[in-house]
Amino acid sequence: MRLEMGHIYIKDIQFADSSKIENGVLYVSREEAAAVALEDEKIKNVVFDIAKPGESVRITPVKDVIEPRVKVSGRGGVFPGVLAKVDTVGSGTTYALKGMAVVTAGKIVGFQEGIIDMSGPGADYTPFSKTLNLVMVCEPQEGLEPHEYEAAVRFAGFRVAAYVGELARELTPDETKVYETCTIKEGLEKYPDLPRVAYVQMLQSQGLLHDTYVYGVDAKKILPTILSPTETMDGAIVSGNCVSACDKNPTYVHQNNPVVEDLFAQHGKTLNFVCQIITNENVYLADKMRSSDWTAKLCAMLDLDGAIVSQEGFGNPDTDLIMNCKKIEAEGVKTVIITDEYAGRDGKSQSLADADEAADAVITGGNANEVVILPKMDKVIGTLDYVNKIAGASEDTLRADGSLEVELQVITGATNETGFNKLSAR
Amino acid sequence: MSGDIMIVTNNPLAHEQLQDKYNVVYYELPLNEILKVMRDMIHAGCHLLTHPLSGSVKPGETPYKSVLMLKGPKTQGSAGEKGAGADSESVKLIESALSACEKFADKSAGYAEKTLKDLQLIDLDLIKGAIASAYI
Repeated sequence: MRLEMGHIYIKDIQFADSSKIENGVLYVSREEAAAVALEDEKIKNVVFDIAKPGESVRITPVKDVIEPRVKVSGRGGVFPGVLAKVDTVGSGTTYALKGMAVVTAGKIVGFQEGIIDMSGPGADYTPFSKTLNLVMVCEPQEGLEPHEYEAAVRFAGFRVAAYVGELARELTPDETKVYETCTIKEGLEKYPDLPRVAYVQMLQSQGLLHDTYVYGVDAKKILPTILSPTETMDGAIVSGNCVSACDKNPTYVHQNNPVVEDLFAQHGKTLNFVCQIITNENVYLADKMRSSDWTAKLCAMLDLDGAIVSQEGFGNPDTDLIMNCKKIEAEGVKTVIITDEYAGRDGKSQSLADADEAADAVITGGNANEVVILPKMDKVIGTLDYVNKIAGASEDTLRADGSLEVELQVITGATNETGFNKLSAR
Repeated sequence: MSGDIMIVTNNPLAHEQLQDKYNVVYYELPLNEILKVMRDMIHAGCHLLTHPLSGSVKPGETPYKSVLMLKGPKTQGSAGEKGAGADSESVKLIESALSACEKFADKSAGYAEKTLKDLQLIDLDLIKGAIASAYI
């Protein structure tokens, strides 16, 4: 499959009477954007705001982060099976608005997490402090159940992102990148001497507020399967995940997965990037057995030499990660696993809830229990009401001077397990 | 449902909503204590059918946990007898869950009633998903 990604760089976002993109500036009509968000009657109200890198702004609680896109040629549309009708994406031409994101924020349940600081020390931990953010804070109709409201906000975010992306349809991209995958046979013929490598992506799929969707299908109901990595780049996977801010994959991360990006960069040079395999992280132990069996079987059937396995979330998924690693290695396929750590505030505790000697090549996104102090910001988009209730926060979180003492877990993307984060080792 | 499968929980909402249809073992206990009850049941021969660290709401943030368990032969015969028959995978999972609990400070003490209800709802939803997978 051949996908052309046209990058349109957004240098500023401003509110205006009508929406358009001109000379790299995105002008947004609040009224028009609100009308798109409010198409679903479950949402009572929506307030738009803009947060720019370097500003003294804190966005919380963050639900999802989405990169606006428009499909200009080829099969399918934006978020197939979710917004656009089901059709296989990953080929043709897609434009992406680079340097910006649509951020959905606001209360879904009575405790919630996800902080994006646009400046200060917190900004160093989240990749979304570097994007111009069009933030939408939604308010539900009275009496709505959390799962109905989560779905309503999820869809509203996608609709607004698609609305903004559509503004770029007639523009000329600032840069175009081409990503091309081979069939199995073509790959064998073209790169007979290169190691055959696949990316195994584990998708959060435990239940309410812990879900991921593939072409609109709840990932907990899938059997592991193979995708062209260009499908992922083209919006085949979206997030419905509201918890574990530091190591969940917002939709933006699926659209810009660095494992996919880096494997493409090496494709045909040091390795043959055969395909992407997706699997899930269910609660029921027999599901874990089935999914890890299937993942390892696919790796064997594809005659892989190596697999990179990324996790999403903490605890329960540690078991899936190790099961995948053990079983794939047992098929004679070398694995590298990407995870993060909950090693306690002092970093001295066991990092994962599971381990095995087959996991001998491990990349960590960092220790999510590490404590950071986030100074008071001049402006809060969303609400601090729940900051004491978010993961990694405690009764002492909100200090007298307005600063927050929190664990890294609360910061959106801080220890992301695809490497879409800012932490590194020295 | 199969009489050999039970739901062990400290979640009052799961107890309330599931007890008429399923075999629910409910204890009003804190999270680490309900995990210890589960551990004792495993040593008495029960098998875990769901992961005791289900959900990415961390220990300390949520006080609730529900698991599906399969009654082992020991449990059905002489309940409470420890030792022989303990399923090693279940032991490993519950011990690592207990260790994980120690890493997280308990933040649930000051929760408002509404927050507790939301946490109960999430735990209930996760176990309902497992019940669907188990076809019980």
